[in-house]
Amino acid sequence: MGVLPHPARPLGTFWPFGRPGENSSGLVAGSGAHCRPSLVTDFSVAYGRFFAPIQAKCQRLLGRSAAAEDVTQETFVRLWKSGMIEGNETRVVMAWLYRTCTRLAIDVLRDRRRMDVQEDVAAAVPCGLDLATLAEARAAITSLVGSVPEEELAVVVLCRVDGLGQPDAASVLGISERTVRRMLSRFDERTGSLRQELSS
Amino acid sequence: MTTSDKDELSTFELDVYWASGRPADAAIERHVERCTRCRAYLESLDVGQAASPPVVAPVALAPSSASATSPAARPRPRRRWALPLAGALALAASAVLVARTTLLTPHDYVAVKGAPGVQLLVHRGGETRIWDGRSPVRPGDSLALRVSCEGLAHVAVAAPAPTEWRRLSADAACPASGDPLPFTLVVDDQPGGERLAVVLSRDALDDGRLRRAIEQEERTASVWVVQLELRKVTETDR
Repeated sequence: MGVLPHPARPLGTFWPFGRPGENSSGLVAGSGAHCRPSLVTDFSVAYGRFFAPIQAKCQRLLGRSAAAEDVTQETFVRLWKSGMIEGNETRVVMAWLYRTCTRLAIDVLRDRRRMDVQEDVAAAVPCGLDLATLAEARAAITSLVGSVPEEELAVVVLCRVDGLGQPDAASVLGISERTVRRMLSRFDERTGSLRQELSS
Repeated sequence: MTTSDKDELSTFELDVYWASGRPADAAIERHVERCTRCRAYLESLDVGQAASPPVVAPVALAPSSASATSPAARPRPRRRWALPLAGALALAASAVLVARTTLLTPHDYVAVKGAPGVQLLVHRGGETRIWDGRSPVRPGDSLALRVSCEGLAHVAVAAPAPTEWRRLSADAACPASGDPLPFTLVVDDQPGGERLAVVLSRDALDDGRLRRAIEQEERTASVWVVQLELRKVTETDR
């Protein structure tokens, strides 16, 4: 084993990188005569395409918090490591990202139960997502995150926080629609019980 | 899923539509035209994209002209780079240069924008690449490190000696503007992988404190440790 320090080596030889050029999308990519296309560029493109939706998704559950940013970044690190980008359609990659960041966000909620996710709900949500349902789901998830199986929480996040239909949620999680329905019912039972406990 | 018969669009549908570059889809376009919420959502994605942390994609480059190898003449990146660090993940890749780090490990450090980052440069055969986090190194490769200290003042590099982590470099001031650390490392021909620890700290650390920080992979507001594990391919492996 060994890596030997060589203080005398001229460091200039380590700097053949081209000056990064910033494009209109805010991404920075290698540019100039010395660049040649590579997977890196592919990842950059993917990052530009998927970052904003995934960040928005994380913020729907975690608010505009550092935790949401962390989960977003971790999701992209995993995307890069997964090699998912190549040869997959946007919908497939998006489903993978949804699944991954949902699970990461649940982990964060479990680790940081005291985090107040009631604050600062993402401002813009599509019409397919009912704001009252979203707020109620977030409150229920926060309350029950420590006692509900991850898969069940993931179904609730996708259907109630992200507004996916049951077929899409099933597809994203790789489970049957019947399982999605069963998990939603079970979660509703839990929240009903919780409400009863609180009211009594 | 078709949208022709839908009065509502889910976030997933809109996200896929937006991420696909808004391809021609009459049903979605009609819906968005009359739905202020969905329109606002798509606009929020545009804003989110514009404000997203930069991804630097420093693809492999042919050697520059001789003048570019001079420190005075070498090009400077326009933006600071940093690398995402995911838990124990030593180093991500050239592909993933995101100006935030991940903090999913239960450390008490609350990240601020632009968390510390480390980048490993591998010089081989006249070409320098940013290490991709997976590729093996070879005997004779020269390694250089760039760090983004983000407010931490000191940087030290260590490698595991037979019994404990040992400092490879004297504690140094963090270089400015993404400059490489003032030394390079050359990979030897001994079998086995290589491990390095880069320790960024607010104050200079003595050897004992440095070792403890590495062993605990400390990441706090005052000490930030990154461990790099490199596979090595030697002649006997080929």
